[in-house]
Amino acid sequence: MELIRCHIDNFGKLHDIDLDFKDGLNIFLRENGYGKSTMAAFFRAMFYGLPDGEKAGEAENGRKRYSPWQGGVFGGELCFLRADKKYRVERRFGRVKSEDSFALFDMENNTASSDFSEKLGEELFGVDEETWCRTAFARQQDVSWEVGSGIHEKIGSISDMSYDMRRYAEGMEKLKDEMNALSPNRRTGRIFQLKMKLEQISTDLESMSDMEGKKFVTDSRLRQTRWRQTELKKKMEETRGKIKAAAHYQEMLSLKMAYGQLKDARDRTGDEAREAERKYFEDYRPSFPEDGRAARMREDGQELNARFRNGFPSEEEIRHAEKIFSRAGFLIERLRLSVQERESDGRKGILLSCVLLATGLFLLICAIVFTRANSSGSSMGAWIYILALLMLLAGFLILTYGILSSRNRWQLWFKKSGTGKNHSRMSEEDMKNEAERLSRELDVFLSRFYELPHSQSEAERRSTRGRFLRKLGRDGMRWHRLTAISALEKDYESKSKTLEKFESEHNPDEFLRMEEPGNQENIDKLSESLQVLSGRLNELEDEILAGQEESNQLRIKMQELYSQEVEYELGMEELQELENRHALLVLTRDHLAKAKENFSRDYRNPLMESFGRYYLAFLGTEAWDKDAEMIDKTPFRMDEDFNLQPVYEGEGRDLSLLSEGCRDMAALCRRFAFVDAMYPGEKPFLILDDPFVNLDQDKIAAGLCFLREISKEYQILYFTCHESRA
Amino acid sequence: MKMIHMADVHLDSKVEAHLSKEQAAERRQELMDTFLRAIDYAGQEDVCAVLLCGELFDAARVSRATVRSILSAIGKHPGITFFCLRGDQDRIFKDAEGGDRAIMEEAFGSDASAFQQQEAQGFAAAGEEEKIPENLILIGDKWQQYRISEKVVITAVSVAERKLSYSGEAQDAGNDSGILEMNPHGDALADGMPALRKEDCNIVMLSENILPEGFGNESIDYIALACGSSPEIGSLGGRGIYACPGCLEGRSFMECGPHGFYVLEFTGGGELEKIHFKDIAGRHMWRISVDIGDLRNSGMILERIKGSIAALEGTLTVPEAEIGADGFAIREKKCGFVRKEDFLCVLLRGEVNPETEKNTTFLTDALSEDYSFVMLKDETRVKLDYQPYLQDRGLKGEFVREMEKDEELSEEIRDEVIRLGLQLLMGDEILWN
Repeated sequence: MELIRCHIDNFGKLHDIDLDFKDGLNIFLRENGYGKSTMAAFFRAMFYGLPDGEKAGEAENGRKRYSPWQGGVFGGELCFLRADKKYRVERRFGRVKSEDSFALFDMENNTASSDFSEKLGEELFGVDEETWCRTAFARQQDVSWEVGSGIHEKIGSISDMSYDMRRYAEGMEKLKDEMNALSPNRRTGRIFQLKMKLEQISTDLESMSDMEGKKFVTDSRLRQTRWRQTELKKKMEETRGKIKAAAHYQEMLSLKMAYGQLKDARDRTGDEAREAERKYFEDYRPSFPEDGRAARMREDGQELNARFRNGFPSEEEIRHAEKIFSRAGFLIERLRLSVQERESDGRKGILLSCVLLATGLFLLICAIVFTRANSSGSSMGAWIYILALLMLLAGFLILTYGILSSRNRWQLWFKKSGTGKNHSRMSEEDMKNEAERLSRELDVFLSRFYELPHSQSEAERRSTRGRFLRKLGRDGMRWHRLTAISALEKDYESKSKTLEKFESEHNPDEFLRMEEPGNQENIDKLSESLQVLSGRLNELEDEILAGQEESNQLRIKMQELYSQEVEYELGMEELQELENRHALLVLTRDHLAKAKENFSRDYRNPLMESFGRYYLAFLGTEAWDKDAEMIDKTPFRMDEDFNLQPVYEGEGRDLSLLSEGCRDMAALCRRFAFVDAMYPGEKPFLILDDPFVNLDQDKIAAGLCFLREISKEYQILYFTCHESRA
Repeated sequence: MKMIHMADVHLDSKVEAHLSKEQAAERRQELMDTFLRAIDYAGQEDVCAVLLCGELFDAARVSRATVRSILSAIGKHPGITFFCLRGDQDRIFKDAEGGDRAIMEEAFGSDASAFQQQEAQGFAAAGEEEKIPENLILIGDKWQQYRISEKVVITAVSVAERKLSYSGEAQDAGNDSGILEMNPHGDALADGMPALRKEDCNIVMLSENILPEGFGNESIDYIALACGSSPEIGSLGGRGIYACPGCLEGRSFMECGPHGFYVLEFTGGGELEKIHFKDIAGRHMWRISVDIGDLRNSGMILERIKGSIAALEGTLTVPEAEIGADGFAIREKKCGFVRKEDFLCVLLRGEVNPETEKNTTFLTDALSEDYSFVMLKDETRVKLDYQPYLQDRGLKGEFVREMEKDEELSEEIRDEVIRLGLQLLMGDEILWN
């Protein structure tokens, strides 16, 4: 399309300006501050309208900026040619968008046209306002620009293309992030982590079969051990039974023995009693009939008990009584003998004394005679004197003794008896008194038990005493025997009761009829055996406890594994889902890259062709064929992001390696190459606002040459403020 | 006379993975309850024999409590004989001496008599006190034969591996020679299948779910098999039929529909006359696909789901059979009624508009009010109209055109890649369906 003319009513500083445009290059040499930018903004506003409000990024093109200072409506008209049809667009702008007006006229017949709407720019150029600004409008500061992502912000690539490429770059970043987040290879990737986790679970689960086998073996062993325990318990029970039986047998045996002993003791006592009884009667009542013996014994017992109601004299008493009886008897006998002896001794003494005296006298006479016969004093005569004197003395003493002893009852010398009792010599009076005393004592003793007759002579009484003493002895014997018999009978009774009690407490039939068990084992051996079994049982119980613990632990582990099994199943589902997503992302990435490659290639080739053409035009080259050779002749290449790279020795290099002038030229060529690519059909007009301001003089010439070339295809509105660049 | 043919009980086994731990434990208990209920049913119906064709439990996982319950339940019905085959999930382990022992063989003994003698050793998992009821007959890997009545004979074998094959030709009974020689490992067994008399009503039990090719002859009236998830009845080619009752109760959404066992009814003369299915499952598992492509919001989707559920009624069938003088007739019995206590898996499918309001949480909650467990899976795809982009001069257009050229991709994947690519090129965040 082509601009024909325009009229600016009010637009910023521009007021009532008319401009005519021709095909090709339109050079506008205006001083600085003329309003070239404002004019460019006017053209933009005529095609794209003005935005409403003051949004960010629109400060340059805002409604407020270009509204006339004096206020009021501003705008203008613009006539253009499109597809061989001329149009006139009128736009007026108010304070707000609702106050704007738009009118399109067919210039041929000056009638309103509906061929285009208010979105004139989009419909005419097929790009949005921003893109059109970036392509169709080159400002002076934009000639040279940094190659890189920022360049898209300044001049963009190709309208939607640059937008798409930006979106592509951002999208690929997001896709890359998502793929990394899911990555099966990165440690931080969910798929990797999930696989690791599932592998771990799978490894654990692999052990499940072994673990189940192990549990099976453990349970089998446990079962076997329990079975052995049961058998062992049975055996122990058997052994205990045997021990019990043996102990019972022993007990019965003991009871049997004890019973036997009790019975024997009782029987023995019974026999003793009967024997004692028999002997009693044999000794004391030999002809007493068998019947009534018991009664007789009772009577005898009663009699003797009555007699000895105060107690039977002790053996000492009896011995004492016997002793005093003997002593009394002895004394009496001794007295009699003493008297007899005394009298005999007296007689003997007197006789002896007479003999001694006579002899003494004889000797005395002899002595006298001798002495007289022997006047020499022989000793013989002395000795005869002495002897005669002695004999006289002795005879005198004996005479005296004889006389005295026949008169005095001196105590007699008693030889020591076998009892060790010293008896001192007593007088006959003493003996008599002693005998009487002793007799009285004996009487008193005997009268405790017997009634002694009173009128009796001493001899009779003595005989009676002796008799009663003997009776006492016999009675005592009888009494003792009866007492013994009674004791035996009591003992028998007691033993019978004991036996009865035993019989009532135990069942004699049981142990009496008990048979000795065959193969009876020794209790000690059985106990020892039981101890061994008990030890083994403890070991088995420990084994069982350990086995149960192991089985429980395995069961717990298996339960964990079963939980993991579920986790594994769910994890596999999740993994499948994530892998599907990852695969989709890979496909998306690959296809997006392919699309971008195609896309950029579709634009890049023509871009390079265009670039080549413009570059050569800049260099003044006349070859103007749009064939592939043009690309080869340019020492540049374009990467996928449409960034230029100078080629040195077959390698693409950074654009910064070029001089500023070459860089600017290349950038400008590139821009126009983009424009070529963007507008393959209806060519837009281009507004260049002093794009060569930074070029040195020789480059400016090239630039102008370049402009002339491109103006062959494009209507160019070239604004400059310096003649050197016009 | 009646018998029950049951298989794939799977007590204490894995259940649906999407159930919580507590729900899973509860579900396993429900499986146990169903089994006990089946036994009680057998008692009430005066069943004389229960044929358990394998997969009663996984002996490595089963708990003592479960085993005790089984034994106790069996023991309570001394008038019923339970024939139990090992399943193909049997494991081979090293025993204490390092020898290979099949777990069930170790648990039960390789044959009934040995098993009975092991009474004192107790049950593998139950402990030393448990006694094996006398009415529980365990079949090992050697053929065993039992005469149930004057005419009815049960012949059974467990096979530990799925290599049961048939070699040899079917022969008529009449002589005492073996009719068929089973060939589980490629070698002939020392003792083949016992002879079957034509005049008997012969019931053969196998723990396989694959009928050996060519297995069947004129003497077999019924082959009881253990098979996968669904009931099945088929012809043996001769006078008999085979049947798989399916599992006793579904454990996951791969085992949907009615479950239970077959009841075999015999005439007074001992002839098999009817095989009917008893659905005894406490809960059914249902998996329903619902196309919501044309719907706009969750309310409409909910209505469509409920409608799909209601439409299920009577759509499913289980085979039953009646045997007469002229042969047998297999008919399909209608079933399929979703109950409140059932588990539901709803798959949302179709192409939906991007503007469609689809709240899966709301849908799950709403359905959970009517059913015990609901799992909702959103398998819809966002409808993508990328035709306008085909003319786009920009990168989006190039991308779409590039995708159109790729004929190796399926339509679904292509649409998804286009959707992702366009999302990215439009500056949106990546959103997954």
